[in-house]
Amino acid sequence: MRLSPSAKGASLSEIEALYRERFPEFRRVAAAIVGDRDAALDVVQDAFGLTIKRRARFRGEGPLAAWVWRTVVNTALDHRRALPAVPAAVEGAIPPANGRPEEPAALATAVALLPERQRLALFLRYYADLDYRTIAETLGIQVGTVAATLHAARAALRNALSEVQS
Amino acid sequence: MSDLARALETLVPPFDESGANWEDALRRGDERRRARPLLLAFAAALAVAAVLGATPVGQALVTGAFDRLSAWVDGAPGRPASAEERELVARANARSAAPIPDGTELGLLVSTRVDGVRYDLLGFRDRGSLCLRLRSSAGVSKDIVRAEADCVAEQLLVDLGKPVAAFSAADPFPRSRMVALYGLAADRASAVEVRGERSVRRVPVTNNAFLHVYSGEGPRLGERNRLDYRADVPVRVTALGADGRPLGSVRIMSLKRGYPAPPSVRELPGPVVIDHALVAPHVGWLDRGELRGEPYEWRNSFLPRMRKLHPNPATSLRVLVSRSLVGVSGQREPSYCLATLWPLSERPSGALCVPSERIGGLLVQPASAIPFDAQFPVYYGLVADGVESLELYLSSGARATIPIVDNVFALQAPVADPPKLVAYDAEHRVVAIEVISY
Repeated sequence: MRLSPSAKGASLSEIEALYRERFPEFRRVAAAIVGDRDAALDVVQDAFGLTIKRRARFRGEGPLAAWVWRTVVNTALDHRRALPAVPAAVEGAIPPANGRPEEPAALATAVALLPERQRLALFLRYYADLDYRTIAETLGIQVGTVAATLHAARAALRNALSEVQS
Repeated sequence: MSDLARALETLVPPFDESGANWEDALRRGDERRRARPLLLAFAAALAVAAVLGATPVGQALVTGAFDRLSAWVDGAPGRPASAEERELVARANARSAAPIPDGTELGLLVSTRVDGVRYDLLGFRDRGSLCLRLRSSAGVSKDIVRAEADCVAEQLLVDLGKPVAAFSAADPFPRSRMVALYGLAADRASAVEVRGERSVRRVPVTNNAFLHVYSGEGPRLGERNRLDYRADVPVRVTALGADGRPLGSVRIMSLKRGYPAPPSVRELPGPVVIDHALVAPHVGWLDRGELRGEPYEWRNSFLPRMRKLHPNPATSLRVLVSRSLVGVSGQREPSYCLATLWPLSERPSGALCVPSERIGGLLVQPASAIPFDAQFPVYYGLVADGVESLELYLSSGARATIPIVDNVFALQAPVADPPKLVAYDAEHRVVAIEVISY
């Protein structure tokens, strides 16, 4: 791919710092997307392999973290698309000890039925605690769109939960 | 914590142990640290090939090795596939936004059985491409569904001049920890030798195809690290004659071992200097909003309204293009966006947006039909107005003209052997050069 003449690249130490600092969150988001907690480890390792391999392509136009998150999300989506069509995150659902057993399943289904952008925004917000700007950079959308996207996702999920609880 | 946050917390709980392994990530990504010895080995192999090419015996090894694929001469290769498999392909094709031609026949090339599970390698022709489709009797409930098919342009196999081609070395069955390596071999090959990091296995060739399925499980599976379970990654496949003599071999590339560093422009055949730089390169019809190709609505995507083009008659692959103000790469400026539709696939995959002012003369994006370790990725992209022709220069010395349709192109190249793509203007001046690598 031809790059911008101003490409500056990312250093290995910067990428390593991100990896060591945020690995559990990377893995958790990957698990949510792929729906398989074991496979998520491989997804994150592959994503960082790609990040390292392509680090010279980082243009420095946004935060490095967003660029890396984008690679992790895209790698997880690629992995996900090769899987049978079962709802994402279902395999990660573990019924709470004292909760209604149907609640996680309903939530998992509701999450799986969200539009992809809403689902990804939700995962990045709740499982990685990313700020709106980083989510926007990661998903390639406006910051204002992140707020609206999350609002719509939350509303859909609350509806699903309230139906189960009522 | 809100009810929703608590529920989401339960849905995907945090990990007790992180599993972080930076050294593993480095191994997967730092191709230069690993690839240099491979590159030198490859240069040596090329030198050997060049010497062989100068002799009558060598000529038979390195030229036109894929001219003789008897099982694929006409109709379906091998024997007819089961009615169930034919129906599955027919249904996928009916749903597909990149259908293969009606009447395409599906054949069963080779089967193998491992741990009570049967694996079938099916084949069909898609225009000028030879396609392989791997199926498992374990069914979709237990195993991953592989991509609908892996296809390689027949002319590329001829141009590469090797008697064997491994299409893929992926782990398509991760839930059962199975690894598959499959591909095609010329008529003279009766078997292939699969050399792994720690083992050598001989696999028969049937109907010009080979299929090697084995357990990738290693002694450290319990540690949840999939890198550890893949005990032995294939590194080379050699075609063997009936007398057991080697006929020629190909390297197997894998992300886990690292891809080779791409050669420099000067290390490959073809032009090395740009004769004429395009001024403000752009794609006029996209900028003007002209409706070329066919409309394609990518629902639930940030690239909803795209145009579908069929740039290469050797494959049913389609390329989607659009001009957008919102790109997947986070930029917020007018961008050219691309995605692919694989033959038989229902939905697009991959997406790339590049600011329109930065495409240069040539924009190339790699993609593969399977998640990992495809040996023949597709490279697709855009050329700017003013580019009249594209030529691909393989390190084997072969040269191919790449068709351009409405500024869009798609080609295939071996991941082990990055080629050079050269763009020419109407006066046959070189306006862009790219060494394309995965």
